Amino acid sequence: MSYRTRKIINRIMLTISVITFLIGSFFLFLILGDVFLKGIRYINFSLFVELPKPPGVPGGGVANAIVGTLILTIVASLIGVPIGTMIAIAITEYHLGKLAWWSKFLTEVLTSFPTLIIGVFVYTIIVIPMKTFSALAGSIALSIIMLPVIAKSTEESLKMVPISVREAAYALGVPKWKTILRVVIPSASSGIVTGIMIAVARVMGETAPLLFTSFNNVFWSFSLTKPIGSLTVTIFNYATSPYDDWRNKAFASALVLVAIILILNIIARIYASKKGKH
Amino acid sequence: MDKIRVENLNAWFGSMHVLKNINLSFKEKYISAIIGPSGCGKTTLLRCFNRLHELSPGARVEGKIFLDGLNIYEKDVDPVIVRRRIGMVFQRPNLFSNMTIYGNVIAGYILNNKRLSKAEKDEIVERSLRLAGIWEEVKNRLREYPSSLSGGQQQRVCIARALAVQPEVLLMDEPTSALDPISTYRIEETIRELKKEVTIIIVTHNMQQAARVSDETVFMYLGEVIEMGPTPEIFTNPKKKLTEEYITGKFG
Repeated sequence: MSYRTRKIINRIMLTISVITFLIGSFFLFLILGDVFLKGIRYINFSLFVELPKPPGVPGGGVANAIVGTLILTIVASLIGVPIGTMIAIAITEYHLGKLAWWSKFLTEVLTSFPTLIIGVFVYTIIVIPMKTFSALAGSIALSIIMLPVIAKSTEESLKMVPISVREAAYALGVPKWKTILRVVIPSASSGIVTGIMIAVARVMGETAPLLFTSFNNVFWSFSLTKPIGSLTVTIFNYATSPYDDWRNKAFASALVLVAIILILNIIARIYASKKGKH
Repeated sequence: MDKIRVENLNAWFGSMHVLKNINLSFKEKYISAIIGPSGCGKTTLLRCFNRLHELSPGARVEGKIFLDGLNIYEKDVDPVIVRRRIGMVFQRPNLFSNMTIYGNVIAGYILNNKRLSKAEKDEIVERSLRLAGIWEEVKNRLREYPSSLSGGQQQRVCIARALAVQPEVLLMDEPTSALDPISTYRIEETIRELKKEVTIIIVTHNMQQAARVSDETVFMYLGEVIEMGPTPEIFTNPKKKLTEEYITGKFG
């Protein structure tokens, strides 16, 4: 192949890559732009501090839903993060053979599991016995969705830590569990934290599993055993309502949710690049 | 006096028999070199001395290794304790990237939750870095991370880290194979200095290095010990034909 033809092929490949990139980013910016333009007009102070009001009544906000989303996500993380990291540690650090293969396989299956079904599952095992929708049920559903994401990303990060670093610790007479806790995990921390942030951002945007679990609540609720409002379910209800007022609030809430998720992602990126330096 | 004695040692990787009936002894405060062609089992033998070999998946060891008369493969011996008495320096520098230079040197204490005062820690760090011959180069950079050091400097900090916990034996697995000649020279100088402090067993595929630094040399071939003796003798007047052929570069 001559230099000329190689150059032409290179041009063609580059053009295709740029076009596909533009197609991908076009939709992202279209969605972001639409949410931003339609939402920004209805962002106001009362949105963040007031409870929802009936349609037609001026004012009102989604303060309870913002707090609800935060509570659901925090409780879900408290359950999902430790279990997810432990799964990854079991798979990568302890040579469990067949068992490791199975847990890896099952976490991968769980990753692609429809979240709606996870919601129905939690409904049958938590909501029915408790005889009420609850924040706890919602958090458990979200934590199940987080689990495989965290397990997978933590596993990848732990595998990046070279064996020679583990051996350095063993050779100093450091027991295995302490090596994992104080050498391997800190070395992999930037990857682990990034994975957790991505998992958190992902479950924040979930609606379907919450419909069967935490349901909704238009009042303040800080109890784990009672239904709780969330941004996503609120957006769902408002956006499908026939009232202009509510639909506008849906856009504003969507903007708030996207902003929170974007900020989380940016924090994760900054943390990863800072840690990656040495 | 023998610091380490090996009796009928066999080691496997899965079904591969990598060490075949090894019998050896290493004298206290001597520098002993293990030489031999690639794949002869010299690194595996070294990794049996601090019970690191058995940590690899599928690896197995049989036989006895005595450290001051205590068999470290006895059932009730904790390998973690063995490793505190027998330090190791690896083929490539493997400092902890999330700790500073200072933190790396003191890591053997910190990771084992030994409580030390600031002054004690400072003293251990300085003493170890001096022993490893790198104190002058890093004394003003102790709070920096190891990635700011060159490969040779990192390797000498690794030596300092291993020495900090005051091991009785120091195992070195081709410690200069990834380094340039000047760093190699410095590390060999350090090794000779360390002889006053510890018993050293060094694996090398560099015969000149073995000749330069060691008091005794072991020649291994295909998982067996062919010959062991005082270094000058092995290099000038080997008893076995195989040793002579290897020394003179007929194979390897």
